[in-house]
Amino acid sequence: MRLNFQGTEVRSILIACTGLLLVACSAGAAEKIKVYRVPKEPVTPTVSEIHSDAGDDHAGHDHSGHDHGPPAQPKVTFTKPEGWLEGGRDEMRVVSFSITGPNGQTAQVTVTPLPGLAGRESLIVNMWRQQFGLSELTEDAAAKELIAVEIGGAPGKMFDIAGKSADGSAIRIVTAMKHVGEMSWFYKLQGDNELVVAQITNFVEFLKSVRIEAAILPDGDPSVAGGTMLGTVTSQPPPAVREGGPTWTAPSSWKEIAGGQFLYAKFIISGEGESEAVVNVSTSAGDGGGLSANVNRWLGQLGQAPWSKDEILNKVKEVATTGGHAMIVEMSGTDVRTGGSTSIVGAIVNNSGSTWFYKLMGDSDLVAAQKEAFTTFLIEVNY
Amino acid sequence: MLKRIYKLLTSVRLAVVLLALGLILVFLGTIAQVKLGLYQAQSEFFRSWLIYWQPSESSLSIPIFPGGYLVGGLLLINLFAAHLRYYRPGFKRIGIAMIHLGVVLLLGGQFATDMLSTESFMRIREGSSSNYSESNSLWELALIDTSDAEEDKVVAIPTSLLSGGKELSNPELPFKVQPVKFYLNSTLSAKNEGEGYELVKAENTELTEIWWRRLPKVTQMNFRDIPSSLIKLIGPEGDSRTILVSGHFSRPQTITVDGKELQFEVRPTRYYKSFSLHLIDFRFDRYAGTNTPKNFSSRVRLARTDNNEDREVTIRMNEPLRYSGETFFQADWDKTDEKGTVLQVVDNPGWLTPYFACVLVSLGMIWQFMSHLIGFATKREKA
Repeated sequence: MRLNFQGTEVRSILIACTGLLLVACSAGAAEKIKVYRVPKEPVTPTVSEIHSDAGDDHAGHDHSGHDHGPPAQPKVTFTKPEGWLEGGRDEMRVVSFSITGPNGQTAQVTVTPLPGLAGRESLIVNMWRQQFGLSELTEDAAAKELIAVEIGGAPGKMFDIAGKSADGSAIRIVTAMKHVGEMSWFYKLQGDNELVVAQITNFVEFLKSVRIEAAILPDGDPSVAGGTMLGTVTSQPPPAVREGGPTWTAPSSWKEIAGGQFLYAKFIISGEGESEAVVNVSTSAGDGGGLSANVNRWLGQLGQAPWSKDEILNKVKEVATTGGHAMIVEMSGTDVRTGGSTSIVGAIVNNSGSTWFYKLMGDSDLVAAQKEAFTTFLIEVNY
Repeated sequence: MLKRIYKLLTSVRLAVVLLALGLILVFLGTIAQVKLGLYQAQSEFFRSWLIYWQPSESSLSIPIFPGGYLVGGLLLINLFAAHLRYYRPGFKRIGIAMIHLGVVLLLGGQFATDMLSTESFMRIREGSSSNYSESNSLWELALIDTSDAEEDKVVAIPTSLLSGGKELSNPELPFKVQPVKFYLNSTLSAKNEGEGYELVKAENTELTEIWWRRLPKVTQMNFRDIPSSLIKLIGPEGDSRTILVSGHFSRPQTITVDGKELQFEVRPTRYYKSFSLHLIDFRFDRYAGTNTPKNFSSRVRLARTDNNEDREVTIRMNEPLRYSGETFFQADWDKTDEKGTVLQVVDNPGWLTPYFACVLVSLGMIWQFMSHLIGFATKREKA
């Protein structure tokens, strides 16, 4: 065949190549910055706020990845015992671990929410017993199998069943459960009998550390300016143990709540009506950025312009506390999130190479009413 | 030279080789999913020009096999060019043209799907509404100006741009953004957890220590990367401040620039809609006496202000809502209390092309078969 490159063939090739080139260019096109306007979001929490990533390390554990599917699984935080290897999730299990014993024995830990099982403990015990071919227990007898255990700072129940697997080896299942609304949360340690027995202490500690909740921002001081979300108190109980650091007796009207991993302590104070204030306690090595930077940061949280060094020195008061001199500063403005009149009483204490930050922030009237209690609290903190 | 290229591009041999390579590619890509997971395998094998191999402990990437784009693109060119080289118009050859056009449409449609389709998830709690969906794999740094009472102005920077280290600017931003360090997948901790952890030195981490660590890119389907980045905000006067942004923070933080507050957060890339969906009721029906799912459904109210549309729709498994070019599938639910739904939102402008392509190929084959059959029958009758 004689080729005529002036003809349609050349045009067709050029068209095809150009088309492909366009596709290639669009495939390689980089993502671009977008600018758009959206109506303000309502304050109502959405599932997305749960941020089911489970990827943060609030309790100090290390994730090798972050779940996104199922996208709306609740966020579970915990302290992972040594030697437990975190496994994957699936539709049923929101957390799982595998444990290997010194002689190659294996055990698994799973956390599974199931609906509609609250108040049906005897059924649950008997379901597990059936797995081992054990006889069914009466409701009273099943209730006697249950022992109290702390799960995430709240009471739960636990039972223990030992038996033989299909291949005749000794296995054991330790199951803990806690009912939250319509959901029952099951924590199961199962595997080789010897290994399970050895891991029960770790399992109980793990149960104590578990928190099921919306993800918590490192709120309060760590944000560039602000981040304290008034009115978004979680139902998480206060941290039970604080190792090291100062101790105190807080005023009875202050309710301690979990402050997230970045706060040493957090208290919420309820005033008249819906007025609220919070007290954040945080710490940093060294001087924590210095007086000026921190005072101006607090000012930024109230939408106020920064103060000069002279202004700051004029407005800061020194108060003697048990841990050394505290520099206290007061400021007022508007919290952009609430739109309400908001005040801050902030205090900075340098103690043994660390800097401690205390911040009372909230409704201006309530802050004014709590200022004296805050100062007394500050003075009496034991380092 | 040109003749050789022309001959090569129009040869049937090339078509056979490309089809064989396509078969091998599909096989290799399918096997690779075991190790890489679905999305990574798709990206490396099918949404790529070349497949690379990286020797262990080396940063060198060696191309070892053509990727999906190269095989598909060459096949497209081959089809076009061969068709125009060999095709001669005629009543009997219409079938061939239709088959070729169908295959071209299939390949082109798949390119279009790859380039233009998006998949995201809309999460809604009962009693609340949402007007956006979120990506499961892409993240953006959103800088939000909340000063307007009605609307927020959002500048959304894809986090992929932060990975390049290139200075970013936008007329809507009062500063330039210079990425300092970017981790595609990361973990944060309040303490030094050991090897790989670095102390974050940023303005918003001065008051409390935050340690971070790079994590390997996750490939499992149920997991996703959570990026963190240190970015330097450079003002017009050259003044700068370095802050930590991270997908681990579940609420926006605030920064004050020239007396103006901006919220910022790293969040899954959002796709805003011109309408909102309000979740009236989510139902998770089970077979009586079991925990086996029977049906998931979301009763939503679709509200649109520009045309006053307001109607109720029930989205069930296999009964998606198709609206405004998007399809909303019932995908998941809030497992905490079953009071929230997760809808998968698929926007695929090319979704009809496979149907058209199949119809064209089928009609072409019928035409071709019938023309031969009729021709054969006529000849036989004459004989």
